[in-house]
Amino acid sequence: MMISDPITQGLASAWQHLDGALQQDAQHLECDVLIVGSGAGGGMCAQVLAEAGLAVILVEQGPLKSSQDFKLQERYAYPDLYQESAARKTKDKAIRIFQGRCVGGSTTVNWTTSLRTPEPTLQHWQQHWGLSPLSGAALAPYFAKAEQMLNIQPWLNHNPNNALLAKGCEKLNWSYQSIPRNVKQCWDLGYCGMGCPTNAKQSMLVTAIPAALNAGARILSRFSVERLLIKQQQLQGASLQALDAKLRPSGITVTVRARQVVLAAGAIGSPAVLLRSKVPDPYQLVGKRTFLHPSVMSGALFTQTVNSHQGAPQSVYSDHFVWQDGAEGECGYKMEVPPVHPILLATTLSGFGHFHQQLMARYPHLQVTIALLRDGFHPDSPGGTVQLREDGSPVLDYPLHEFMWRGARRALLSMAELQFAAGARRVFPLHEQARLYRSWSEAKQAIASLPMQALATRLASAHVMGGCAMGGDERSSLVDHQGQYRWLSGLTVIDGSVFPTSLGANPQLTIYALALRNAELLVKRLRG
Amino acid sequence: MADFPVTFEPAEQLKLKASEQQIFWWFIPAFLDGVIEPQDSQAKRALLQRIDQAFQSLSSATQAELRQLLELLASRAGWLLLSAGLTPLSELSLQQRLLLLEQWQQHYLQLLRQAYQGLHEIIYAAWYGDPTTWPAISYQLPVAAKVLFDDQ
Ligand SMILES: Cc1cc2nc3c(=O)[nH]c(=O)nc-3n(C[C@H](O)[C@H](O)[C@H](O)COP(=O)(O)OP(=O)(O)OC[C@H]3O[C@@H](n4cnc5c(N)ncnc54)[C@H](O)[C@@H]3O)c2cc1C
Repeated sequence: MMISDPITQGLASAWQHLDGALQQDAQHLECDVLIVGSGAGGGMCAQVLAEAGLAVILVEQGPLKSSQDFKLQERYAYPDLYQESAARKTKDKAIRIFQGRCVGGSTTVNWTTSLRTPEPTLQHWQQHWGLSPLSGAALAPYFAKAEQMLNIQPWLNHNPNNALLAKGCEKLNWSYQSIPRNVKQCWDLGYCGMGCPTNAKQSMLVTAIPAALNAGARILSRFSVERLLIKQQQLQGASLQALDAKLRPSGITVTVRARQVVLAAGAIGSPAVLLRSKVPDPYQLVGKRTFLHPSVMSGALFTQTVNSHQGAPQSVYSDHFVWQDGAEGECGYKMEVPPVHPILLATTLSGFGHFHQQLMARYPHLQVTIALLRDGFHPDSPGGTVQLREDGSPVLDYPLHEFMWRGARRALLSMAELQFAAGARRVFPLHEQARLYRSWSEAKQAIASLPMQALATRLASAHVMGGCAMGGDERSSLVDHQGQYRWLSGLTVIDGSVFPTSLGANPQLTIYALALRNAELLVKRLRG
Repeated sequence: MADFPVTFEPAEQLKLKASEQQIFWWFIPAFLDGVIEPQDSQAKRALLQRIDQAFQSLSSATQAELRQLLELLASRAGWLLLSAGLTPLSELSLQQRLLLLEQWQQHYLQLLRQAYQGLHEIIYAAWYGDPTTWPAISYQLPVAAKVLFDDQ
């Protein structure tokens, strides 16, 4: 069956695309604005700038893939579309990090949950980070615009995995809501994490990026921005490495001269470019305060089949525990359910041998709930730090402190309680020392004494944020509310790295709205 | 670097060295206890090949780290440190290998938990990445997806 493929069609028309793996010689390019990274921030920004008539070059280190390349299999999707083949970890290996590395960035592989920034987060930013221009009212038009561009609407057809989350909440009288998703004519397959094979997901790959290319922007895929070119405190552009088919540098360099550089390489990639470029940073803030929503996970076995991998991955969430203790209080957590496919499950499930196989054999009956810990609001939750390895690649050092562990334990307790309330026969917290528990009281007792410890409690993140904090004070923030880098003119940061804290909600819509706003402001500055 | 003799027939075309392959060779039947028989060389060989593929798709930094771990396990001094015993891996019974994994899994030393989780991840990723393992866990691609790929 033919699915209309905007990428193939666009490439056959007038799109200007350079593929690093085909690049033979060094080259020199010029433009008004060079955008580094093509994810939520970079994609949106490219559309706004190109449609405003600016000459835009969009650079992406990953490959340009289209729906025809998405084969619904983890073994292809992870190496093709994810940073470090989906095996990226924090420095001590305690937290697994999922991020996209392909045209469209993480939006090509994300799970479509589209939520506005929670009001308490914006209030915290206004009160503690000098971000008074970013009120809910001021951002509302940008949220509305992004929602309209990406067809964001509540998804009401819950798969059994999500329905069990709702059921547990109902039984316990905990609040829960339906999730709006950025999809159009969705087939409800459940393979969003492997790239949408029907182009239903309104990711940057099929929306903003084609719009930008139609408006004349150029795209360079499989090119990695090594460093910014700075001469006498003036930003001149950037130097790029062409990457081969295996995404390793081929030795060919391309330089791009630009009036303005927009950094949109994501919350680990953007600080990495700044660190490699040795940009001025008088208060040593680059890469600091990087947040993850570190997530603890709980498995549950039900008598009925759940088939957690089928259908819209996330369509119900519970914010019951996110703000319970106030924004600055104990670590709150948001509860959702992830889509569970074999590699993801097998590698995340603790245990081995017979035990592991027996759980895997009950795969259709397995339900998994996750709790995303809201990091960065409390002084005892400073997040992590992006550092460079010897080869220049970034690694995130994210030590977990007592404050986060307390949140993790409470979250594991809540999830077990919820799953039993929804009718689970067994609950299994993903922890190296946990067992299958038969009742809420048994689980409660056990979880109370499980050691909360790196590489014992299993943790994962698909929400990397911060590292180039925005704010009103130069001692604590690198960019202002427009994303302008304080210490270098001609540099703007537009992606998830500008958040001064985590969000307490899935980040994509916040990034879209901020990108729309700050790209518009950038157009004004460039014209002014 | 490896101190222990290679006691199985390594595959030459793989990127992993013989001494590195050997670590997987002896741990595969423990991680997949009940699925792969310790004597089933063919199954172990096939999985080793997929582990090698998975290894190649890792970033250079992760490859280097994993290599370091495998080298450590393949060296006498490293093995002594990590296993608290002198018997080489190849001479441990399946029961002993399972016990060792359990010790690593829950060890107070972070390095050993890292080693355990590192092996865990790559072995299971390689195993469940193969569609022939899916029937055993009743996983299948959506029927609706068939039409997407059929007439390409
Ligand atoms: C599996 C998964 C599921 C998710 N589910 C959801 C969800 O349901 N809802 C939600 O709101 N959010 C979700 N997210 C998170 C969301 O997608 C991200 O927060 C968002 O896309 C981040 O936008 P960004 O622009 O900061 O970075 P990204 O979208 O990650 O884009 C950054 C891009 O920059 C590229 N890059 C990095 N360095 C360089 C360089 N040096 N040179 C060139 N290019 C470079 C990267 O390859 C990448 O493509 C999910 C993420 C993942 C991975």
